[in-house]
Amino acid sequence: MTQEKGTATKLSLNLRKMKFMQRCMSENERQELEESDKIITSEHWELDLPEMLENESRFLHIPSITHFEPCRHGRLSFGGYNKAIEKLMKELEQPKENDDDGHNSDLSISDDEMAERYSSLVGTVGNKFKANSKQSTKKGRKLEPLAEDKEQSLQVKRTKLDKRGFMKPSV
Amino acid sequence: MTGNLLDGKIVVPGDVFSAADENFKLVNKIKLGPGLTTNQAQKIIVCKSGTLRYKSPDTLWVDCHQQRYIPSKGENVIGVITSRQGDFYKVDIGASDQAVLNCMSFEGASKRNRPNVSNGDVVFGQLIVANKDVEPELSCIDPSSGKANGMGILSGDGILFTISLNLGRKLLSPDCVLLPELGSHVSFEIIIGLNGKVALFCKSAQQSVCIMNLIKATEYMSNTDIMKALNKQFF
Repeated sequence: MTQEKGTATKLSLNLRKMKFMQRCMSENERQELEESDKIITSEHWELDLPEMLENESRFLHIPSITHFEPCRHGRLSFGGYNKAIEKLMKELEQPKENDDDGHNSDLSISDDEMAERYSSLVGTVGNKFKANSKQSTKKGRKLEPLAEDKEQSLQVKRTKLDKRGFMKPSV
Repeated sequence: MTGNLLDGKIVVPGDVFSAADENFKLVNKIKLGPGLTTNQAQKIIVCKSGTLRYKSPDTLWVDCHQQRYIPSKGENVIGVITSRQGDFYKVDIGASDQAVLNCMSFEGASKRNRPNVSNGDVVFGQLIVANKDVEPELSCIDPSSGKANGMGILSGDGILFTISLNLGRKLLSPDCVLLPELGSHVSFEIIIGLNGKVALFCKSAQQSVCIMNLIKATEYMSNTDIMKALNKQFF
């Protein structure tokens, strides 16, 4: 009965391609499957045509004249008529100035700006360190124990452990 | 003939010159601007009448007087809303075809929160699609930053008028002294589209008309002439 069934039914191609089916497949079958795959791909996706020659043009067409004649942003405000736009104008024209400098163009913050920021921060940063130094003087020994103190404290710890000795775990 | 000799030459449509005999430093491709095309034989053909301009090392274009706007991608233009079709508005930007403007391409717009736009509104936007085969498309959001950057519906009491495309570019060039100098005397807001439309907002109607006439009169003036005219007006 079982033998008859095995010879009569032929499994579909898609089923045979599945990974768990391939494990028990013989090598001949496997090669057949691979070959059939190759035939399909080459027939379906490759056209037998001569290679296209790349049309090399020596010209590049640029339709927009803004590429040739530099133009500012089209919306301008003067004399404080529209303050939002005046702010925008400044923003849009600043990066151009940076580009003119050349060497500064890749820096996001210029040296002058950095110096300005820090000059205003000098006081506050100073306070921070003052507070730290006060704390450290109060805690003094705790923060930076001397080498001798360290040794002492280690010895104390050891002695404590020794006194207890080995403790058997209950049960 | 070198590229420098070409600069300032008067050309008419049909003029042909070869790029081969000129001493272009052919490291890169030659950049051709509006008014110039090429043919199969790798020659440059002029298709607009005007003066030829050359910028070292490899850039050529034709500078010509023009009133008709030809859309090109990335340019900021002013348009007037003419109708609404579903999610899109039709905008007259002065080109051969009307531009479309999606109601979602305003800053802060969502499906629920649509911008309040009606026919006849003036809008300042950027062209994001400009192709000779497809209608141009406007957007009021700067694609690089995702912000409005001054674009959107222009509201308030102002005046909209048309100038030539050259004058628009001249006013917007960083060298032109007219607007900054005018701004030191009068407070006003001006929006100049590269399609030659200008929206002007002032504190009074007299000022608006005065500035409009001044702008129109400066088309063929040099910077020194502009300064003279301004001094006459204000002193």
